Formats: sequence, structure tokens, C-alpha cells
Amino acid sequence: MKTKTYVHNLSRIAWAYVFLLIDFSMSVNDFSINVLPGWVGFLLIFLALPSVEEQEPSASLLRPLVILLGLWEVIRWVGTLVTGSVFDIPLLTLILSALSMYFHFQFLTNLSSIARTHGLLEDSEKLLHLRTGLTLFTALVTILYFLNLLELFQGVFLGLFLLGAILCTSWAIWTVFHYRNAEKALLPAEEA
Amino acid sequence: MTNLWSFLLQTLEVSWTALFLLILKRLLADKLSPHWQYGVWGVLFLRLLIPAGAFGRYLLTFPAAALQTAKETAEASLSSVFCDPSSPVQVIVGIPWLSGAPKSATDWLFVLYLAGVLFCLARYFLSYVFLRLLLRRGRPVSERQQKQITDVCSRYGLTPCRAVILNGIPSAFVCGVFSPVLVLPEKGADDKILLHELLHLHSMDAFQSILWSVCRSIHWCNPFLQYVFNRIGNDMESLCDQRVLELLEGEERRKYGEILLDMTNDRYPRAPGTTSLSNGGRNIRRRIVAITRFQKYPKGTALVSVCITLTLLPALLTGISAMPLPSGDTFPSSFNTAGAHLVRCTTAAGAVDTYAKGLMAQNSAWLTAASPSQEQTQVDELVQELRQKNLFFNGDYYLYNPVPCKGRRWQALLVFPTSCLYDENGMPETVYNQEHSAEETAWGYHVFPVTIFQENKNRWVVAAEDGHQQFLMEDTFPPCRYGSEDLPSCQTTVEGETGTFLASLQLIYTIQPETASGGNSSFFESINAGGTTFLPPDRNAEFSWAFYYQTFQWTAKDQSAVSASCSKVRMNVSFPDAYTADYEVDENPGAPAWNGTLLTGGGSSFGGTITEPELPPSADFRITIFFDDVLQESVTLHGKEWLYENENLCS
Repeated sequence: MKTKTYVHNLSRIAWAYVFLLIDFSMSVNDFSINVLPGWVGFLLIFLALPSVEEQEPSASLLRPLVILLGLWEVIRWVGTLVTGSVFDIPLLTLILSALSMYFHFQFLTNLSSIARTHGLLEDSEKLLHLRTGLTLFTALVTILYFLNLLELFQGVFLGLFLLGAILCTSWAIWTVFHYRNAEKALLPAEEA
Repeated sequence: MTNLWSFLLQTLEVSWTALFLLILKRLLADKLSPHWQYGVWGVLFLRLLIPAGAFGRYLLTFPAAALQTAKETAEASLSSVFCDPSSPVQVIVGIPWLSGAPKSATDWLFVLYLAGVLFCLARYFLSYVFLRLLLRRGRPVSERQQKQITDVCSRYGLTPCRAVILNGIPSAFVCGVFSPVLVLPEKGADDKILLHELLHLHSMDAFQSILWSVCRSIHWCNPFLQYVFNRIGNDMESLCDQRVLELLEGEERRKYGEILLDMTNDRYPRAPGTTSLSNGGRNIRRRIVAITRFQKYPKGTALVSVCITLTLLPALLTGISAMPLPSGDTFPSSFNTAGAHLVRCTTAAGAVDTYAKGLMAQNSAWLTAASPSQEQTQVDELVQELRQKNLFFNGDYYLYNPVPCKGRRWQALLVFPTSCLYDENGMPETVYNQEHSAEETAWGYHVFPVTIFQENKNRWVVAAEDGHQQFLMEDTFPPCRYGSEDLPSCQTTVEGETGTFLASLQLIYTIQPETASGGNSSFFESINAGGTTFLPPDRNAEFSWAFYYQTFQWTAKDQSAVSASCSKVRMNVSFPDAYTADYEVDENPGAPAWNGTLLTGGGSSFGGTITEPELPPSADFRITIFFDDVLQESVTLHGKEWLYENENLCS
């Protein structure tokens, strides 16, 4: 039963990453709205966290970060919705970027550790690689953002950058869903 | 830092950085290792070295603007030698020095601060010297103790140093950087204490403590930073504890904690270039709690620690936000003016956009931001003049005829169409409209001669020349973005053998409006000034589009001679660049209507994103005169010759 709950929450986590990594904004009557808001992702993770903590107690350290990051996503989403332009407080964005980077790093490390405990060595390695790749890419984007270099990206460089972002996002979502499916496959037939 | 204000700005920016790091460390206290908890202070060290505002950005802009306001208010009535009242607060280097003899009260305050720095440095130096002198009274360690030190070093791969025993000290410490000495108390020291001190030596913590002491001296009068430097020292000790615990196993770790517990009430030597196991009772209690929670952080943690630190570097070292352009509404005018002095228009077009909109909105802050630093009085007078004359603007403006001068300077005309011109008595100018058979309000232009130049790195400014002019429009609705016969053009005249050549050029630039993301921005951000609406100034604007109109005229020196000598006189204007087609015109000189002149011309646009005003390709041209298709004379002019270094060409 515990394992089934864990697999169920892994689905939440997988979908959480869809909301966290994909920004699908639409303009409606001069207002901009992200139909895949990040705060939904953090909400899903918050709901799934107790199940992760059962498997990996150190994951409890992430709880306050999830709450902080989720609240900030709510504020940004509402602010963007109301003002029509990206709502941002640079100093706060910086501190939350650092927290977000740590959160995803540690969270994926915890998932990897659980996967290893369950004998899913391949998925454990993939999660570690994802953790590393995502951390490096996020660090690069954040550094470029605060150096005001992102706006200089044009033409081929912009295309390459966007391609990299799409690949990273796809890789992350695929890896987490693959891990979810692997855990599901471990369940006894009657529980699955 | 050469004056009180530059020190205040520097210590303020460093304080914000320190506060930011404290908050981040608090949030990641139990998540990242003591290696990161101490290592991240390296960002603060770099921040201490980099001058505040060096990159035109600040961590928080409001305090910088408030400081500038305080400076201008205080220095207005003082005659400081160290700073100019209206110039922006600037930090050249992060260390203070005296640039002259003090005169005003703020000068003397800075001298007092400098004296404090020297006093602190002297105190640290003397305490170190005193300690070294004290060490001379120490005696060498016994053979047993020397063997103990050697064993610890070989067990943990550390390098030993000279060791002495000194009476009256409560715990061991290391003193010195280039010739370090391990000082032991009379009773000797446990292996774990030796390990702790030797790890300090191995990590060059004594050298780091000297650097922090220098920084502490420079910011001696900032109590918050003094607290931060104390925290840095404690983090250094916590890191050393972590290193010790990583080398010890099981029960040894518990015993290490017990050793610390015994030192809770001990005094400890405090001098730069020294390290000590003990750092005060309260700190030791904290360290003991950390020891009970000791964990070995996995290798991967180093990656995220480094990435987080690298992410912080650009923002904390170079600042986050440039000083925003004051709106002129929210705060008292002195605050807006001071804030405007800190604004940088980073492009020529940005300076023009800010200045032009400052004129239209009669906004002193915008005009100040785009004006040279020393011309605050002229800005105030200009605003006064605008208000007295009650000028009306339609909300558009154009840059006419930017003529390059020496260096990166251009003389130009700022042209503002207006649907209502007023005469000297303040009455609207009128013009008779034949179509409507009535007097109507006259359309016209307000024209301001200006000079655009780069005052210093990353700051473009616009200086107003004397003589605001008004021009009536002949047509009621001309599109002056394509030029206007009512407005001046650049001209040059060349006397040739066959006649006089006259070339004129009207060059019109428009500037890219600030792009807004999202439709609501125009609603929230547009400026309403006297019935006109336009977007706020863009300090980083680029020239978006340029149009030029040229005319070429040849007037025969002897019309009758020309009429007698040929049946066709032709003028050809050719351009060296391949994209501009030749202009041609011909006349029958024998025709009664011919007035001895050939006239031709045309215009075109060029655009994309233009960084600085430039001449159109067709500024270089050749005019050739033919009589009956026989070449008579040819004149070649290069734009840089007939426009460059020829001021007042535009009439």
C-alpha cells in the first residue's frame, strides 16, 4: 500500500515538472496568462512530499522551500495576470533562483536515492544525470539573465538556446515519467 | 573613495550584499555544508573590492538616490574640496584615500573616518606585533610533544610548523602567515586540538583573517558590517570543525565536542594572522550543536554549491537595477533631481529620447538625466522658460540634420510639430485657410538646437544651445518625418567654372519607442502631458529609422552664354554606392522659361537599428554638367568633408 501511494505521488511529481518547466502563456484581451502555472507544480510536489519523506527522511528539509517557492509562483502568476507584463522583483528573483536550484538538485537526488534503494539502478543514474544537467543549465540561464545577456541572443544563438531549453525540458519530463513507470512496474500485479 | 559620500555609498552597497547573503545562508543553513556557508563570503569579499555603481547598477536604487539627495542638500551650502554638489556620488576604488586638504564639514568628517581606518589598522598591526614579541618568551616544545605533532601531521597528511609552549594561554593557536608558529599551553594539547590548528594552517586561515581585518578596518563605523565580520570569523571556525570531523571517526567526534565544551569560558587571542580553537562561549555552544548534527555531505553537493555561488556573482558584484528615470510625480523635486543625476542614458538615441520627452512634459528630472552633469542651472532655466512660453507639443519629435563635429559629437535640431503656435503676446498664431475661408490656428514646429555627445563611458547627454525657434507650417498637415521645406537643411555651395553648385540635405531621424510586453503597458505607462500622450523615455533607445531628402542645383554663371553655346544642358548626379540611382535633369537653355538653373533631387530612407547618427550613403556624390552631352565640369563632394567639421552648415 505504501509503495502504491508512493507510485501515485510519483505521478504527481512527474506532472509537477510539466507545470514547472513548461511556460505556456496566452494573451487574452491584453492580459497574459500562463495556463501551466508553476505554483500548480509546487502544489503537486507539496502533496507528494510526505510520501517521499517516508522513503527518504532527509526530504523533509525541502518542505519549507516548496512552500516559499510555491508562494512566490502564486504572486508572480497573479502579478503577471493583473499587469499584463512579467511581474518581477529582481532581488527576490535572485534569492529564489538560488533556492530553486538547490531544491531541484536535492529533490532529484532524493528520488535517485529512493530509486537505488528499490533496485532501479538505471533510473537512479538517469535521475542523477538529470539533476546535474538541470543544475548547470539553470545556473547558466540565471547568470546570463542577471548579466542582461539573454536579450542579446539573436538568430542562430537564440535558436540554439531555445533548442537547448526544449531538450532539457523534454529530458527532465521524460526521465521523471520513466522513473514513475519503472516504479509502477515493480508493483505486484493486483496493486498496479 | 575620496569623500564621505562615496564611502557611504560603498558601505551601503556592501551592507545590502551582506544582508542578502545572511538571508540566503539562513534559508540554506541546514542544507548546504559549512564549506559553502563560509565560502560564499568570498562573494562579499569581492564586493568589498568592486566600487559601488561601477557598472551603472545598484542592488537597491532607492537608497542610492536618497544618498545622492542628502549629498546635494548638504553640499549645496558647503564648499567641499572633495566633491562637487551636483555630480553623482561615485566610487572609483573600494579603499579610501585623501585627495586634498579638507575644507568643509563633510570633508572633515571624511578625514575623521580616515583616521578611524588608520587607527583600526594600527591597532591590529600592533596587537599582532605584541603577540609575536610575546611568543619570543615561549620555549620550544618537548620531544614528546614534537613527536605528537609529527604523528598528527603524518596521519592526516598535513605540514607541521614550528611549535612553542607559552605560559598563561588557555588554548592552542597558530600565529603568523609566512613563518607560522603553533603555540601550545603549558598543559599541552590533545591530538584533536592539534588537528584543528594544523587544519587552520593548511587552509591559510591566518592569511584570510588578515584580509578580513583590513576590510573590517575600512568599514569600522558600520555596525552591521562589524556584526557580519564576526559571523564570518565564526563560519571560518565552523568550517574548521567540519574539516576536523570529516577526518575523525565515531567516538573521536564526540570527544572533540567535549573539548570544545571545556573551552566555553576561556579567553581567546584575537589578532589578525592568528587562529584559535576557541571563539567565545556563545559561539562554542553553537558549534557543539553543529557537531551533534554532523554529516558528511555527498560529493554532488559541491556542484550545486558552486552553481549557486556563480549565480550570485553577476548580480551581487555588478548590481541588479540601473537607476530608474524619476517620474517627477511621486517624490519631492530634490529627490527626483538627485535621482536623475544617477541616471545614465546609455545610447545617443536614449539621451535624445529622454531629453525630447523632458521638453514635451516639462519634466526637470528627465531633462537633468539627459543633460551634462554641470548644467543643472541651465536645465532649471529651460524648464522655467518652457512654462512661461506655454509651449504646446503634439507628442512627436524628430532629430533633424545631425552634423558630426570633432569627437563623438553631433549638432542637430530637435523638431517638435505642434498644432498650436503662440506669438510673443501668448496669443495663438493663425493662418487664413482659403479652402475653409477662415482664420485657423496655425500649425508649426518648435525647434531646439542641441549638441549630442558622450560625457563619459556609458553616459550620453544632450546640451541645449541658445535659441529656441518657432516655424510656421505652410501646409496645414505636412508629414515632417519625410522632411519639410519649412525647416532648415544642410547646404553647401561650390563655385565652379560653369556655374554655382548648391547641394542641400535634410536628414531626419526617428527613435524607436520603448517596446512594451503586454498590451496593458501603454495604459499604465503612457505619459499625458498637456493633452498629448507618449510613452516614457527609453534611456537605452536606438535610432530606428532615418529619412533623407537631397536637392542638387546648378546655376549657370553666364546664362546667355550657355543659351548661345548649346541646345541642351544636362545635370547628372551620381553616387558611389550602388543602391542609389543617379538623378538627371536637362533643359533647353534656349527656351524662354529657363531661368539658368537645373534642379533635381530625391529622398529615401534607411533603417534597422542605428546606434549613432550616420550619414546616408548618398552624402557622397558627383555632379556633372553636360552641354549637348559633352562633359563640361564635374564636382565631387564627400559627405564627411562638406558636413564634417563644418559647423553651422544648416541654415
